[in-house]
Amino acid sequence: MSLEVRNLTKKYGDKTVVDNLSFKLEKPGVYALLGTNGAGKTTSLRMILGMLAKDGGEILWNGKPMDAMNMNVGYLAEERGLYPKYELMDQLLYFAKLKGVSRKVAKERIAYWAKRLEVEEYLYPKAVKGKKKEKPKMADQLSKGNQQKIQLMAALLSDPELLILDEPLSGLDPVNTDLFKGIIREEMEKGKHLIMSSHQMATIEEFCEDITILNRGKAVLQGNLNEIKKSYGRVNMFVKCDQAFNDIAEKHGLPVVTQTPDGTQYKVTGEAQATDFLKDLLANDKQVIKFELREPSLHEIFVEKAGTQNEEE
Amino acid sequence: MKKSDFTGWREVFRFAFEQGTKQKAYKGFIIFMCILTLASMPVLSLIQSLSKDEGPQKSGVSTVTVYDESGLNIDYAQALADERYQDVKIVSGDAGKFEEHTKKLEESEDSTEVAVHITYEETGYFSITYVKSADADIKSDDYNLLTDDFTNFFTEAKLRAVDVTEEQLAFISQEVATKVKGTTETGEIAPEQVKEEGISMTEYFVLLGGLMIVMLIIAFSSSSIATSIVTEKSTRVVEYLMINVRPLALIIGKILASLLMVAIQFGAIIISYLVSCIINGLIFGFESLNKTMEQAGEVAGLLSQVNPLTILIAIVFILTGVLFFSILAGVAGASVSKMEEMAEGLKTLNMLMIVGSYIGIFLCIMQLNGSKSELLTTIFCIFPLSAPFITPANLLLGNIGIGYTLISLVILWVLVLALFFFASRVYESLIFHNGKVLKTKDIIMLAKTKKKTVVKEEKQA
Repeated sequence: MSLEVRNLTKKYGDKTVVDNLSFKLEKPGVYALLGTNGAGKTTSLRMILGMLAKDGGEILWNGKPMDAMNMNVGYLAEERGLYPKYELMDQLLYFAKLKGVSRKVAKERIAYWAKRLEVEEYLYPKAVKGKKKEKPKMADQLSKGNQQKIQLMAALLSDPELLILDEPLSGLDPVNTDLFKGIIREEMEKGKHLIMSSHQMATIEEFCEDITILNRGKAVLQGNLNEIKKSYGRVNMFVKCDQAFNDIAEKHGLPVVTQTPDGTQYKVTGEAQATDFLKDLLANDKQVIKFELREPSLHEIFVEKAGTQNEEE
Repeated sequence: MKKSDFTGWREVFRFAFEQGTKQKAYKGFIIFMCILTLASMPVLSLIQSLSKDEGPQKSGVSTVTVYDESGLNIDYAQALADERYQDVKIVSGDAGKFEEHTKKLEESEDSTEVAVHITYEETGYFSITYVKSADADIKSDDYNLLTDDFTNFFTEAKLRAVDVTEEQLAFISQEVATKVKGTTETGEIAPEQVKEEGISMTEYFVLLGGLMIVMLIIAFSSSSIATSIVTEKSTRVVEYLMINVRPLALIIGKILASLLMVAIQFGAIIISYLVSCIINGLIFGFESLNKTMEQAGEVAGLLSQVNPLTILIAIVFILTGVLFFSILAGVAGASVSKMEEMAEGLKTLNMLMIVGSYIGIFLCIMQLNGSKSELLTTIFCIFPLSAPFITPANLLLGNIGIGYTLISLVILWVLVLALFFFASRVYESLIFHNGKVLKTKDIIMLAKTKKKTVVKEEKQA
């Protein structure tokens, strides 16, 4: 199974919000769609899902035009939503029915995911002896995090072959973040195809092999994350010494990127410049506590790409 | 429009119906209406039987003093012969004492006396003056009834006073009919212009009742659809729904669900009415039930055009009207992003509904008066905004023919289809619109932009 997006374009009037976006998800795993707010991520996802009509391009699933209505797709929207005044169980059964899942299977799956996501108490009101049975819970009686869990359940109820998660971890506490991460990992292990948009770069690095960074509707960086990082080279140098060494850094023309109690980060042109600098530190009897040379993080790449583009425009 | 545009309407219909009927407000309304309807017949019978026990209501007037200076020799002892006046004393006043009596009445409080002064004026007419105290303890209804009855008695008595026989009296009491004719250019008498007769009060109430029922159905259906769409938009549920259901299927499912909910409400009310009649029969006897059925028959007798075909056309007409306003409600609801802005978003829709129903009420009044009603009935029964409210009832009453009804129905369907295409063009954009309420002109602009894009795409293809 594979997903291919070719020259996807969307315009609102004269404004192009997604401009010739292309990417491929050939094997199971998570594909990351990154970008600043308003970069066109959600619009792209909505076009892939067939919610929005595209103004150009193609979306292929297994080489054929994709029709989300006639395939098994799960979707967790960025702007979460449940009917506030309807019972949660009714809503989940409705969403499952829309996906063509029978009531019996849906109930089994709801039971599984309710346990897995620790929301059983909201879906199955307890009957306490001698007391009136609790009323089933409505969405507006749940915390934001628990509503998010119910929505993830709705996305997973049909056991989808393609799962699209728009900012799945935003607003979650660390415990629930780990719970969600565990489920994403499970889905990956099951061989599912996932597309994920997120602002949490560490999470993307944790799950995704391939990425696209969008800026104002255009793909400004695309490809395998490891290869992208390698292409930048090991240009991030972290140094911590007992004594001051700013004069030596200035002599080597190294610009300071960040300065924290944990050390100073410099941008170097390559390994040779870093080696020369280290040699100079040692030659000047500086006690080097920390010296690290590594590739840029996704966060740095993202800020560089998205930030620069924004400045240019 | 493709077949896939309607995929999922059944699921939407089922969910909307299940959730709608689960709502406390819906259940509460049905229970309230059923209780009200169940109680209606026995309560009416009880009121009737209570008023029968009391016998005819007696007049609050105790004495009528007649000062007759007309010169006619009339015996006023039988002036107030009705049972309600059995306790009323009629006294002849002394000539020239009327002014004095009037002053006395003015000074008195809680008086139940009435003074009547009858004169023949030199200018050639009879004059009757009735006087009671300003603080009299006489109900205005009693007073008005008494003066009317006394005047009627005097009108007949003055004719009898000149020895008119009963036969002659009946003859000259006939109403006067007038015919006004003109001449044509050739000097011939032009055909008489027939004065249009108005509808009866029963017909008027049938028309007005029909209008109110259709208005309730349309208002309920439109508001529930708009509320549901705004809820789905404001809570973002629509994002999830849109993967599986197309916007048109979403709106169709909702419209049908609200139609069924309305039908259930009316069904429950009708059943309650029948049960109420049976309860009434068991308590007060089935004579009162027969009377009710006779009254129902009287109404049914008016429905001269009723046959399976006209009933079918009327039902289709009402459903088409509901569809028309529901699509408008769907578009209006989709133009709103927040629940608190719903009233603003539905302004135009409400305005159209008010215009349509007010035209209907205006037509009912005109039909009652009979002035130009045939022309107006035809015009307003064809006009798409008012047609759903008045055409079905007018068809069943025979005020408009099947031909005109079908023309009106075709026009309404053309409009529904045009609106449906318009909605399908803008609905996708509207459903994802997030911001201030879109005005009608914004929505039209959106449709135009969309049309240009489609044409461009077709050219590219």
